[in-house]
Amino acid sequence: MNTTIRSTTLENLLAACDRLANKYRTFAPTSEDGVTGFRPLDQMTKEQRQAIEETAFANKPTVGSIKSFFFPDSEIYIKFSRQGRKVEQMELEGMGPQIILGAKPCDIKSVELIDKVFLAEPVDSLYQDKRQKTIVVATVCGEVGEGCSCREFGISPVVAAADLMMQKGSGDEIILTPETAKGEELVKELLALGSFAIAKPLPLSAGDTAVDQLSAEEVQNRMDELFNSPLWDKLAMTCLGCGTCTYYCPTCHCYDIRDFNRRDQGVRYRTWDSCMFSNFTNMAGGHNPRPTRSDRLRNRFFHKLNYFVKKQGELACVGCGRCAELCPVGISISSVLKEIGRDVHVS
Amino acid sequence: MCLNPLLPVGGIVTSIFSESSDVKTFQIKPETMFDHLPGQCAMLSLLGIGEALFSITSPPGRDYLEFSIKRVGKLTEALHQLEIGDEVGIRGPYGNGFPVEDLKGKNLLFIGGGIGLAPLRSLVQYAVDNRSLYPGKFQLVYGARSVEDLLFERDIRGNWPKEKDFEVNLSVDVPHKDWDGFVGYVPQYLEQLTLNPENTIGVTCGPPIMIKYVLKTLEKLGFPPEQIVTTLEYKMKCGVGKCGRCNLDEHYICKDGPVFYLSDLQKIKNDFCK
Repeated sequence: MNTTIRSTTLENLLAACDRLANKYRTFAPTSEDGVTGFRPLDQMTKEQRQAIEETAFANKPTVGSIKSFFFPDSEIYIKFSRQGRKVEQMELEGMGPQIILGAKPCDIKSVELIDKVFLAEPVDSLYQDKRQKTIVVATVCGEVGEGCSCREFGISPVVAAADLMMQKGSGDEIILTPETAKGEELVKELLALGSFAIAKPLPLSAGDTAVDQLSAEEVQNRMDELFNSPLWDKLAMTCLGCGTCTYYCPTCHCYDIRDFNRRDQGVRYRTWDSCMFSNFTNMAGGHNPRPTRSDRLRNRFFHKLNYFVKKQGELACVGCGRCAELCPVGISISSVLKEIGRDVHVS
Repeated sequence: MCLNPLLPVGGIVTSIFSESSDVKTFQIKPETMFDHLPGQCAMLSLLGIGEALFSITSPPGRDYLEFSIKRVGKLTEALHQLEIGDEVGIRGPYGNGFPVEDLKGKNLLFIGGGIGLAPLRSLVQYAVDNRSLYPGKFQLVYGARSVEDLLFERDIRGNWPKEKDFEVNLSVDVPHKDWDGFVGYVPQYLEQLTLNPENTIGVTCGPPIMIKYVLKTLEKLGFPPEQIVTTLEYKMKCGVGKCGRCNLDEHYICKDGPVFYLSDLQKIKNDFCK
């Protein structure tokens, strides 16, 4: 049974998270010098903590997406020490349970999309472990934010499928409604702390998405016709190949595996990689199947709008707008979509 | 929690064979042996140095796995320093492997170039080991840059020509005083040989540019795309279809490949036959 609870203020909820710190590490969105991102609650300054409410309930996702909670930018999975020819592997510290407070509908959808990659056989245990140990608390947007186009990708800004829904009640009140067993469990733990009251759930908006849009299959088909378009060379003229789009994209999941060795110890780790880098596909021996920036740009957009649809049945874009906003030369996925006659209304 | 698929097991190098100035064949016994199909691959790694995907060059059914490795980069350079008794990391097998069921009862035309004979060797030896299932004619057309670069001497000049109904045709790119065989590229050689596409499947592997022209040449010689099989290589890191770099269209070579029929390849975006 879903138990909705009420917190007098957001600070009351944060204080409760502080008290649960020996069980969960809590991360919340905050803002500093106008840059938004998730930070651990136990490492925030007073000012950052005060900025949580505004950031969490803003009509916009944070600059950094929540993918890094499940797929960190760098992650060691073998640690070893060497003595002469003898190599010994050392135990790695596992991650404990965590709470992500204030995830946006676009980011929540993006995790569902990369689940299709990491949780497919053979299951990526590093990712799965973090998914299982994480409680995602959603805060929806009131409306489509500036530079955002979630509705165009079939995502409603006011609906999210998370473990818990966090909404504003009357005054400073925060209402928490569990949507999964994990969410329900957390609500029980919060209630046990004594500073919450049972509440009536707030009505959830049914939400709506843009209606006059092309289906994922239609986008895929029209992209097929764009494969030999001069568009890719045109975009490649300005692209710097910096990879910013891929690092900030919540659905980009490409990675590299690397070793690091120093004297008598070392590690093997996986780290984010980017299809925009020439070294991404360059083989020892010198052959590179995607030698030009144009090849790489095309592959990136095709992965989002064609290959992923063929493989997983959905577009690998959630309309969060990060790539377009952060691209130093203004390349935008919506300009590619416009080329295939899918006019994306960016708010 | 399930086991991390990226974790290797240990494997001991039990034999090393020097094939040429820059290719060595390593026989490895993994802690836990796995079954494989001809054409499948495995990740080999050295802790602190790196990991890469290599085709398994030995046929199934042995108590070891063999990898023929050309020295081209940081990891392969380090692998070439290994001695018998050294340990490597190994995980696999990966990929689909050759369509051994479809090949039953067919004449088999193996076409290799350089180190590209490594994955084919597993299939050739498998077919030789199971001759009753593969009773047709075998023909190997194999080319290398120079006489010194022809690999698997013991097979191409020793064991295989002695097999019943097994024709071996060798070529080199550059002439040599002791070479009286064909000089030129493999696709050119194919045009000179009398090849009968009937009931024959051509299986090829080599450098990307060779594969491209072999595919074209076979079609020109009357092989329908359904009778042409190739195995491909891109840079790969995970081996399990997740790290994102080895895609041809929506297919990952590491998982959906590395073996493709030309008829299937023609339906997808790729730089091997288009």
